[in-house]
Amino acid sequence: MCKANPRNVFESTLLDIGTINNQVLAVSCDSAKGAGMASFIKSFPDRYVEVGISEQNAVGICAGLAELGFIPVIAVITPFLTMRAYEQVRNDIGYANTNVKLVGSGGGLAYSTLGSSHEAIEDISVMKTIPNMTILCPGDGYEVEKALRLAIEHDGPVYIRMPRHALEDIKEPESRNIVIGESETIVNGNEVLIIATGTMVKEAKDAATKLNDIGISTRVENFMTVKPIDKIKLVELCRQFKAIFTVEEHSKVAGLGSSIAELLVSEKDRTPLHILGIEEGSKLVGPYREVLNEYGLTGDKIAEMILKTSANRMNNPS
Amino acid sequence: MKLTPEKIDYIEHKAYNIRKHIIEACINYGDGHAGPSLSCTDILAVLFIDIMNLNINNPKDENRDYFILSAGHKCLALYGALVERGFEQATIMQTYNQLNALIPGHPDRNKLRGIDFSTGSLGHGLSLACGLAKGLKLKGKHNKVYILMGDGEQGEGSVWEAAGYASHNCLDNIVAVIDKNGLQINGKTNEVLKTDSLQERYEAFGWEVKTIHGHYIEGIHDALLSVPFKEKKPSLIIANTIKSKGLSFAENNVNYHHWDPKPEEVIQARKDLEIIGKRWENV
Repeated sequence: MCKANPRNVFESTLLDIGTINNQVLAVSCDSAKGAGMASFIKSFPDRYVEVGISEQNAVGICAGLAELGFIPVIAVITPFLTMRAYEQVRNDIGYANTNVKLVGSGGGLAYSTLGSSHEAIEDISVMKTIPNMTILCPGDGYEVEKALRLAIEHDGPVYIRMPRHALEDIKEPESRNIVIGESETIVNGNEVLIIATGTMVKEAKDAATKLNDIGISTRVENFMTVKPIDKIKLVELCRQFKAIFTVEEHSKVAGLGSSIAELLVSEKDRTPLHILGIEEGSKLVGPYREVLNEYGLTGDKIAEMILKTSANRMNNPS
Repeated sequence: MKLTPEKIDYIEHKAYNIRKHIIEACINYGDGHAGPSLSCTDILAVLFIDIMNLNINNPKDENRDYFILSAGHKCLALYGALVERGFEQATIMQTYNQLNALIPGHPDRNKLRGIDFSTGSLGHGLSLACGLAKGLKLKGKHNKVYILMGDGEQGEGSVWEAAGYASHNCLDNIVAVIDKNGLQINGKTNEVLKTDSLQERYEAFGWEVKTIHGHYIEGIHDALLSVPFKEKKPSLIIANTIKSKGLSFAENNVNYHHWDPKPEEVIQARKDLEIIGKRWENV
């Protein structure tokens, strides 16, 4: 399986999109190089809008540019875009329904060495409450490219939660055709269902491999689109398994898991749901994989948690 | 072109009509942001009646000038100006704040045609103006982007992010007006957070600034006609105004930011309108 650097994939895709669509603009808050927009800017200097370190202003500028038919792609380290400029995103992008593509560089624990100011474990929470906002969380090279292309094709606001560290392909790219709003089956199984998004899809797949090896038939469903969520698939699946686990590199508060819980809570005879993620407030700092492991968000730890939860349920079935 | 006396009278009449729309809408609904709407009325009258290139048959006309009411709570003046320019019938003013109204307490572009951007939270407008102005430059177009802000609004940090961007990018197609009525909810603006050095601040940020009397139609017109004040620089007009202008009992009174008309005030407000309106009775 190929291992891709998300930023390089983003950079080459944006460059390619730029050659096809001359309405696309790269908007930077001193973030162009770090976010993977350098090649686009070199090829299309007239379509580069540098705003400087002023995210609130940059989001408003994007809304103004979009009003004229441009498709601004703004890429900034995630908390500064989604939280510092939240009200501009809410009012001038979401409610105004402007055709702006917001790219959060480094979702989740991507900047795990830089502490809570740079980590983004609340970005899905805040973005999903914004009207008209589509949320895409790519988890490998194929999905990074696809998310950006889908975002440009989509007429309306899109938030892309970019991963930062090198990612193995979740599946053979040739076998995939992901679209906005539809989940994708990664592994088939019929006892345990793991629903994951972004970087956690590969971890969920690893967990499923371990569980399947020991005889627990596990299915993995990829929700690259967190909003609009694939309700049809969820309702279809919610009674077919002994347990459902959601996994996200995000706070357990108001993320993917809670969206699913909100949707399924009124379904009769549904399967118990367990949300795996980060407790409120990120407290750990350190190398990415080590921090993920501490939070229980690696394949091994996810499999362990599922086994432990299943064992508890068998001992306490009520 | 300099205004003829007839044209000045025409715009003054329109400004009077806008004031009447504002006051009657507040009376009809029972409250509203009368004070800040009345202070910017003459500025909007000049902009909407004479200065801006607008197309009432196609509000989204690509060749139009853009207008952003950054201080969105002054929207009654904007609604009145849109009526007087012919975008809407005057009867719309009676729907202010009603259920499903097209004209709520802050302007919403998803509801009313002729609104370029929804506003309400202060400090967003100048960034939106910068985006429009930058985009027009990228397209090689010559439309102008007009924006009206409040003086209290200058406390928002995002205003200054945008002010720096506009001059750095030589956005001389931006024409900003600050409706400097000197009052905000909690008191005199200079006592809440000083704004008496606005001209110097904007000049330091690279803008070209003129200060005018904000209720003198000819002066407003002359200033708006002479933009950009300097090539490659954004223009700012600081308009010294009177909050609640036209309501005799409320002028320059901090308590009328949001007017909740008492019965005796309704009588006086209509008397005030009648006195000024006599001038055009036979027109």
